[in-house]
Amino acid sequence: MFLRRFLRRIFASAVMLIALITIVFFLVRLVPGDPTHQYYSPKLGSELADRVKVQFGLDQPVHVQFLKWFGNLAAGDLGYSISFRKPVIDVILTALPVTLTLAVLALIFQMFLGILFGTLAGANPNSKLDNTINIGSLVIYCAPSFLIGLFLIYFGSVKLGLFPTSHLHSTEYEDFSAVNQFLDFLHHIFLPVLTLTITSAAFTTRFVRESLSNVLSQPFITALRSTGMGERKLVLSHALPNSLLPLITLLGIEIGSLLSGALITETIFSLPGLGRLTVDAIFSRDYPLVIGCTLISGFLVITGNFIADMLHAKLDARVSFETIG
Amino acid sequence: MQKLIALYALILSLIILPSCKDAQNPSKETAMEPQFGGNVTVGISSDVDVLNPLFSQDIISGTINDLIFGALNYSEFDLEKGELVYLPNLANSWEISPDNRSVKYHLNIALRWSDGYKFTADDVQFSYYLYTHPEVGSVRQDMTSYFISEGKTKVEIEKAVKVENDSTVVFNFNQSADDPLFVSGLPILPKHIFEKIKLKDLFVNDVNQNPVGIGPFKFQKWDKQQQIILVRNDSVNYIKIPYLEKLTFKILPDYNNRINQLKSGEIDLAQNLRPEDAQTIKKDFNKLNVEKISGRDYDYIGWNCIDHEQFVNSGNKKITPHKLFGDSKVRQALTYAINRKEMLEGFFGEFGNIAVTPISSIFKTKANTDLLPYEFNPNKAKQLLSESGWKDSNDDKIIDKNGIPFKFKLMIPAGKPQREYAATIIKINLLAVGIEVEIEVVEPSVFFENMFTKKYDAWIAGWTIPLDLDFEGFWSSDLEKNFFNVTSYQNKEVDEIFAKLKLTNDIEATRELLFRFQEILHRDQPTTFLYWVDNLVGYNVRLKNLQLNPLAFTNRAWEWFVVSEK
Repeated sequence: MFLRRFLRRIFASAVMLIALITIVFFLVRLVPGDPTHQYYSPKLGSELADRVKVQFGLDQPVHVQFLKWFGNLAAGDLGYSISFRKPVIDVILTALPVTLTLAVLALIFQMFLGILFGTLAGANPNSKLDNTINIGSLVIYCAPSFLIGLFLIYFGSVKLGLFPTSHLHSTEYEDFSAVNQFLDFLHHIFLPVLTLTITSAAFTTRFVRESLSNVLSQPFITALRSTGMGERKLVLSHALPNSLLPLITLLGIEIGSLLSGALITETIFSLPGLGRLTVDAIFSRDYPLVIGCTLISGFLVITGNFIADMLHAKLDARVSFETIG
Repeated sequence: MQKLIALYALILSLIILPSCKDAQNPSKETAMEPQFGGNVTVGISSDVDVLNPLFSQDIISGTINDLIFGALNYSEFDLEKGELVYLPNLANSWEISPDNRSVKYHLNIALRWSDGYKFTADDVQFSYYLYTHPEVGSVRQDMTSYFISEGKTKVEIEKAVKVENDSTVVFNFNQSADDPLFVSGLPILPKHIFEKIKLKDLFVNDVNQNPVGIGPFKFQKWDKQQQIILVRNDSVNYIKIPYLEKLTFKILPDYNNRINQLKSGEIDLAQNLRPEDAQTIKKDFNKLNVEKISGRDYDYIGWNCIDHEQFVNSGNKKITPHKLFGDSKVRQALTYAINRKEMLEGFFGEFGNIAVTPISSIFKTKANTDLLPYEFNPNKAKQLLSESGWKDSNDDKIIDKNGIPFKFKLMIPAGKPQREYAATIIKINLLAVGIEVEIEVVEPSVFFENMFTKKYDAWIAGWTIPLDLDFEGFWSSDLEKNFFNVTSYQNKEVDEIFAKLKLTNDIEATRELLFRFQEILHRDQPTTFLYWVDNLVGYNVRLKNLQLNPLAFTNRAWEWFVVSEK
């Protein structure tokens, strides 16, 4: 029974991904603009641009291009990037680890900070601490992440000179020992991860706080409290675990928002990640690369949600596979 | 909410306000002995496309390619003479035939490619075989239109680039070339590497990312979206051995980040500074200096001279004047009505000049300096408009003619604050003479597609002018062939000038023809030339012997050297 439902869920995810790709494929071509504009020249006119179009199959009708693309996908071929002149998959594989490192680190810190502050606030409702955390997290949550990034650069790099403002490594990286290379990497990635962590942590904090105070007002807590159980044990052993269940669903959604947050962080800190790659590809109308990036990020988000749903169903007896479909 | 806004304002002001230091200009450089060694890092705004001169499109790729690859001659713009000059490079010397139809080069065959292979005349011929072959699809193919060819497209390479012996190559043209050294000055590629690759695969081959050349610098490493590292090429018997050990191009897409890194010393040089930053840097940072490169880029307002819809509907045949901008008197009036001085003073400060024609004053002998810019004169504008029949007949403060009010959309591509600034002034200026302008900012890809297909009535954009001053593709009347003629301007005399320019290589005759060309454009105002934009280059004063040139900021980069900070 479990297997059948599991397979059904996988099938639904695949359909979703195909739908996403199809929509984006046609959508990017509906937008005016042309990846071969850069090949126009005053002396040759559009001659060269036309040739490039043929080379990349852009002269064919969109639906033919679409079918071809799907045919190639079955063979694991995502086509060639027009601006990089390399297979799309190679381009993406160099960018993906950067974004994943950023997102995974940010996710870990965000959960840690979010649960910590959320619990502190939720366990002491309406106290000074609760109000401070509440207002603080609201302000940070509202602030656009580029502003937080610039703010951190200003203090961390320009004012205090503690951290580099861009890139993953120092220029002399290759001359370093393995340990120093790792430290150099941590040094470089600290501000970007912090930028990405701060906004999401604010959201998690508010989420945990609300969830915890909900659980704390439930009858079973009152019952436990009446047994004379200490408040600390009550919160940590009984209320908190129950309030964290919905967080698992949030985890799935967070992957999407971390990917989009990474885009801004990658641009501000000049990191060669997937977010920046996608936006550059859109601006230069590098169609094969846009689709490739969509496929990969779509896959990550859908898989993230899928895993979160599965976990949720496993951990929460009230949620069955029937309800999550 | 207001508190939140105030908080943002505070944060923003902290970020924007520069830390103030004692205002002191960097002391004038005293003559200093160049010394070997040192690394220099240049901040650039975007990654390069390819490191292969067959295909590289954007300016920064070209700049880096020129450091890795050498051409037979080395060209730079002589600011004293106001023209391109050529120095020996991979060729020690050359002779040009009196009719400009051939050049004989004597190569320096002591040179070696950065992988150790010998440089020969075959490399030269093979490079041009690649540049001219239709199957390769090189973006430099348009520079080889003078080359002897069979039929229309295929160049007869054996005749056009003739190898006389290992060290002698002769270029033959099918007509006299305007500038034979310019067209034979493309970067030379290593035959031993390129001959192994199928022509049609060149476009996506790995060689585009791992160049082997004979230039002052050797390619070392390209971390995509991060940096490109070049090192000194001292492996060859080469006249241009750089003082620098290493030259790194660091990719920093965020403008503020570039400026911050320039201030903090993480990078040594950044170009295209905004005028306000150039002024702050000059005033507040004594370890930084700013210099400008003038005369290559201008912004203009394009007026569509013909009715585009009718043109397209008639199968690109019927030419009817544009209902607003078809009349040159109206276009003159528009130029009179626009205050270009205010744009310059308000946005550029000391950096920029009013543009009069498409030839800037750096071309000392070719720029027609007798032509004065149209002054800002709204009354004159009103008078010209009224002479062309545009009057406010219904008292709505907007002039009209045959029931059509003078209203239009002014399109600008996103991303250049100077154009948004200019557009605002234009809107105010034109309203004062009874013309209503709506400004619309468009994403660049969309903008350029519509501009090239001539869908816009009026727009602001810019050109970088070709150094060979060949304007035929931009201004001659054949609209189907020359789609760079974006305003669809047509003038028989201009066409004749281009035809005559092709037949002459007499300096005085060329000058007269170009002067007349500028006069006609100045009279007809198919575009309102706005201003020449200076490229502002900020650099750390530890970097010495910078020789900025309209051709490139990296001109003679082998002569750059650094001094250690005291």
